[in-house]
Amino acid sequence: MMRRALIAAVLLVSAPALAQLVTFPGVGGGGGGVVVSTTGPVNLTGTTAETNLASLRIPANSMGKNGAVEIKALWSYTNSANVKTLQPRFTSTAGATSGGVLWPNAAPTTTASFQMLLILHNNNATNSQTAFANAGGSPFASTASAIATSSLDTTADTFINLNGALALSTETLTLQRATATVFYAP
Amino acid sequence: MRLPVVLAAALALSVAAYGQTVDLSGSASGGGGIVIATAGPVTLTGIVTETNMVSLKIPANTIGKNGLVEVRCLWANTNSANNKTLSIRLSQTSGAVSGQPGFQTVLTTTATAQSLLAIGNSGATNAQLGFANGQLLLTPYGATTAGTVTGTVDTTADAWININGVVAAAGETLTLQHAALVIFPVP
Repeated sequence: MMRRALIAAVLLVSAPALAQLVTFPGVGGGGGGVVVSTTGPVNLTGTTAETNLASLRIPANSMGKNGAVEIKALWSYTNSANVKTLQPRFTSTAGATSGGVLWPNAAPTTTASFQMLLILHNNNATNSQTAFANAGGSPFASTASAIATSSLDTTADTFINLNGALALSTETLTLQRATATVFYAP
Repeated sequence: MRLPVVLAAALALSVAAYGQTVDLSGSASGGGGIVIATAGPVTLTGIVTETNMVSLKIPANTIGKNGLVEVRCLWANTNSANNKTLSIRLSQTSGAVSGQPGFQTVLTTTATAQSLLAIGNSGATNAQLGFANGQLLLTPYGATTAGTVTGTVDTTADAWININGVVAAAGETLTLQHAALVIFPVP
């Protein structure tokens, strides 16, 4: 009896509470129900300032409290020693070139193209987000960085702003295409 | 709005090296039909054996003979030299901490991780194929010399994605911040 009581006490202290779940069958608008996509490439050249190349709108209330957004973007650029900065920002305004950094920028140099995947989660509230704080070129990995957080209100429209910057203004950075897919979960 | 997703899913499944394909264009049971997500983080500590942190149910007959399940997880853990093991198993029972197909990845001196497991039925509702075991929950795309992982779970009955953890040092923590499962049904 003592042993059982001891085991029960240990379990009580140390067993994790199982995570709460939401299930959302796809009938009439389930998983991957909202897709926002660019419609053709956009070039950046002639400036060294951070410039918005696409704003992908996440419609108000499309994520729910536990939904996720996946952003996939294909970039190309001048292959040179100069840095080309690819900077995603999650903000409440379209076209923002400051704030909203959940993911570190990617800064390719002597390569020609880059594909990124970014994942944004609501964390059991419509105004609480978490994301893996790695650049989008290595979305599945482990890192010493803490999880990135933000507190935007997704009951209003929010935006994934895909921005670029050139170290040398005569070079070119192209956002070939970008897609955001929203996976709703209440 | 769903059409691009359906088309993308059908395309993704139809380009595999001259295999047989199915086209779900216009089907009401198309891609990404079911999402199951956790609702808040769960933390494991104090136990050094494999422990279930969440079970995500795959409802009976939702995958089909050739469908795919994707499981995405965001993790946080004590940054130390001690092993923190992520373990994901497809099982016939909820909460299983053993059995195949299972996939494990060990974390040590990092603080966060994001993982992806893709496992699909392969021509039958009780035949699964997944990318090889090892550290590949963190590198789900790429090449490996390891063989694929197979399973024989009957997906005409309810099946479960059991997301488990192990901490080698009982005083350390492993937190499942978020997990989402998406089923892409294919008959």
